[in-house]
Amino acid sequence: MSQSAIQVSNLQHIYMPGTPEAFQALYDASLTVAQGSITALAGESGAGKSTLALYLCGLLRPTKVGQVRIFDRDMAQSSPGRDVGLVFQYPQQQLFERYVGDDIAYGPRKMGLADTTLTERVGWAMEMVGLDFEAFVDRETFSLSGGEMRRAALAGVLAMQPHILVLDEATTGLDPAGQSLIHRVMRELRDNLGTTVLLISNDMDEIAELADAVVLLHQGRTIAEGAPREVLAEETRLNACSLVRPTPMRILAEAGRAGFTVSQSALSLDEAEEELWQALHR
Amino acid sequence: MQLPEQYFAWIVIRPRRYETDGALCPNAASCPRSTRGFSVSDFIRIENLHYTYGADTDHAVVALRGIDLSIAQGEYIAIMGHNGSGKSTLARCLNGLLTPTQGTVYVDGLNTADEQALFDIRRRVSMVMQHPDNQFVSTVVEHEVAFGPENLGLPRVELVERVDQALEQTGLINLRHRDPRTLSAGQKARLAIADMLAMRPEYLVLDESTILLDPLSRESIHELLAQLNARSMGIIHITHQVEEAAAAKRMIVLQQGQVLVDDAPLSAFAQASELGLGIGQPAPMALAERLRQRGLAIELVLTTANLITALQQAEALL
Amino acid sequence: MASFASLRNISIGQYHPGDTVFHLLDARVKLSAFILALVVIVIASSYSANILLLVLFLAAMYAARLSPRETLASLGPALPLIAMFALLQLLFYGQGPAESRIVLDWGPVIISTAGIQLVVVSVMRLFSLLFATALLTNTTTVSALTQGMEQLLSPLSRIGLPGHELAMVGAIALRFLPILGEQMAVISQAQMLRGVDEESGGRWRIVQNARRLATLIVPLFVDAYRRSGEMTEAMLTRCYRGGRGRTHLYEPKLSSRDLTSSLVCLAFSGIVIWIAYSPLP
Repeated sequence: MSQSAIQVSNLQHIYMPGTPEAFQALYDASLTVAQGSITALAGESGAGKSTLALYLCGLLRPTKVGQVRIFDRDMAQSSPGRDVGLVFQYPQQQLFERYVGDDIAYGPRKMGLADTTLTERVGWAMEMVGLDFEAFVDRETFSLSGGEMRRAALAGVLAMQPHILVLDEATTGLDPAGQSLIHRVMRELRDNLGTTVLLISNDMDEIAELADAVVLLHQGRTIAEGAPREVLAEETRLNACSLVRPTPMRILAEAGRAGFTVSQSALSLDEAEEELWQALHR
Repeated sequence: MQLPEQYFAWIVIRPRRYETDGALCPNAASCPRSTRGFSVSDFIRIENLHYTYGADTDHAVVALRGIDLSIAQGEYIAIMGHNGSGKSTLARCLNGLLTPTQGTVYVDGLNTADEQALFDIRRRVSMVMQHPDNQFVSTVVEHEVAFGPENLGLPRVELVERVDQALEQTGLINLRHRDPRTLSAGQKARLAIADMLAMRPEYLVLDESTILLDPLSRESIHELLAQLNARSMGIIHITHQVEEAAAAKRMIVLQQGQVLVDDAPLSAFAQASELGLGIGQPAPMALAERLRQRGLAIELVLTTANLITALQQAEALL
Repeated sequence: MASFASLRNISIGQYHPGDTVFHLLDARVKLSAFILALVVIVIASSYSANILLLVLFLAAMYAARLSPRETLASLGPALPLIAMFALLQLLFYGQGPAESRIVLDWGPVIISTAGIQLVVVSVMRLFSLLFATALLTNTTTVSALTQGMEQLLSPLSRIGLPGHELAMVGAIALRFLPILGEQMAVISQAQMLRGVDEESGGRWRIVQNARRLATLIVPLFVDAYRRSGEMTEAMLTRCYRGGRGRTHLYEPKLSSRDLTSSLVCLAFSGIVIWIAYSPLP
């Protein structure tokens, strides 16, 4: 029985309206994100994904056209407050305190946590992202390496324990180790805390591996919404968004074309392996 | 995107100069070998390269610890490794943006530690970086592409020719009067490459330049790279993407500032996974390996096309 | 949303493509006219001269299809500071020249007609200055601007001053301005999400905003430092070594249009200066 955590309907957004540089980023964006799910949002660069993220965390507010509801509250009237946490692609953009520990503690402290509860919360967040508390708590924030900075930025958001976590291309450009760390964090949050995760990404294999649902955004409009197995199989529609099918699907499609009898809906290498094995022993 | 041959006509193998005696060496076979065992026909020669950031401060960070590489003209090389393994530092040593703290880097016989040679080194080795936005000097596409050739002091006729050709090669010719800021991410990445193509370098180094692109834009960059390399322009592509590395002809894996693997991609991936370097594996290769573990007699492969062929062969044997 | 986000909208310093007379003029003409305009703005201190200047600039803005409102909006974040200085001037200027009349005398606070004129004229001058800058930077590409400055400064190179380099530094600073503005907006948004106080009182709560600004400066500086590093590398990679041996894609030639415009500028400057020294208030 899943209830929706996010509901967006017919959302429009124009940047700098009324100036020569006016630019419409969203035309008609609609999507529903089930509570406690990992939902992926994909689309070509410039499709409006980041603009949508700004609406979800309340930095932009729906005015005339369109509606954003978070846990059934209308965002035109209220703000998502601490319900939504947003992780940016560049960690430098969200870190500001001098020491790592202070930076991670900033959010929860503002929420009223103090003393041991605060320390515990910071410790928990650092453990989630694999930063050793003793080693990193007193390090200077801007002396961290790129990978460590990403973890610290993620920990800073996790420490506020938002009910909804939005990752805006937060896995883009990470090495495999960094990527699998964030994947593990996403799964743990969903499974243990019931957090709803919105993953903005163009990495189709990552989406196939993790997502419970997929939304495709194309030129500011939602063009598909549903289970990964269906949405990620539609090659023409994905190509329109400058996207491709996940690798396992593409490999099976090639195998099918070469005369192997395989189903082409595999999302993971495990499934693809099984399909090929069966096809060879049929 | 297939481009007509004429756009690549300028890529020619120039006779090379050597540091040893300054003389030209027309063919590699007749060239003497240097003491370290490198053929002097190598276009880029790296000897015992060390690099330390902030070497004379108390927070020195060692990035490269003793790298020996020899790179011939026109190779297509992928460099992989974790964040912090020294990939970007190595790239910056290739055209003298960083000078070795120990060891030497020769480009076409020129030492990158020699200030006087830097101009000539940089016109041979160009580098495209990760964020196009930070590389653009101008607010008009064609001026942007002209910036490099202008620095070379070329006559106007040649500037115009180079700009046109670089824009044509990257499919940006219709956007020549636009402001780079208003281009899409894919177009910006192409422009960053056009900037460097206009320099007509012998080697193009890409430092994770496709990261920010969506999958189809990335594929079109791959096609462009393959076309350039087919016409003997050297490519060095630093990447985390296993598919990008698989497209290269030679793969180098760095860890903690050292070269751990240097081989053709197929065996390089095999060695990397044996060493547990955690750089991943192309999906077709992973699948072949899994099927092999289940007892199927199948070759290890890199690409989907080869996987299908291998599957067909395996099926015939069954 | 935060007023910092409005930095995204800074329009001064950005090239707005177009094909008006202003866009077609040679950069050297525009640069010289700009310098002339600065001189005139400094000289003109009377109400009448400044009103005429503003009218002329508004007409020019209209001809160049630029929006005066947008240009003034660039002032946004600096407005409280300007207002504060204006107020201090007004209250503590004193009587000034003998012919000035005192409007209000209240202890240390003396408001005189000279004080009022100074404040009003200063604001008008500021507006003229912004319009002049917009007319130059919004209609000229960075490359043209650099090249123009370089050509104008070329006599300096002969005596050993780095004309090209000065021009390049200026041009790149202009190009980075909107990027930094955008970055500041993003950083401010990211911080608000972490619970950094949102401004409730808007841009007039100077103390809160100053404190808020401090948390923005460090990340912004880190970002700017990283960007400038990358820019330097990209320029070096492309064999940049200053003006030495550089050639240009386009060699601008002065046309009759450029000559006419220069004469028109000189004529208008003459009129404004004549009015400034006339007995008109």
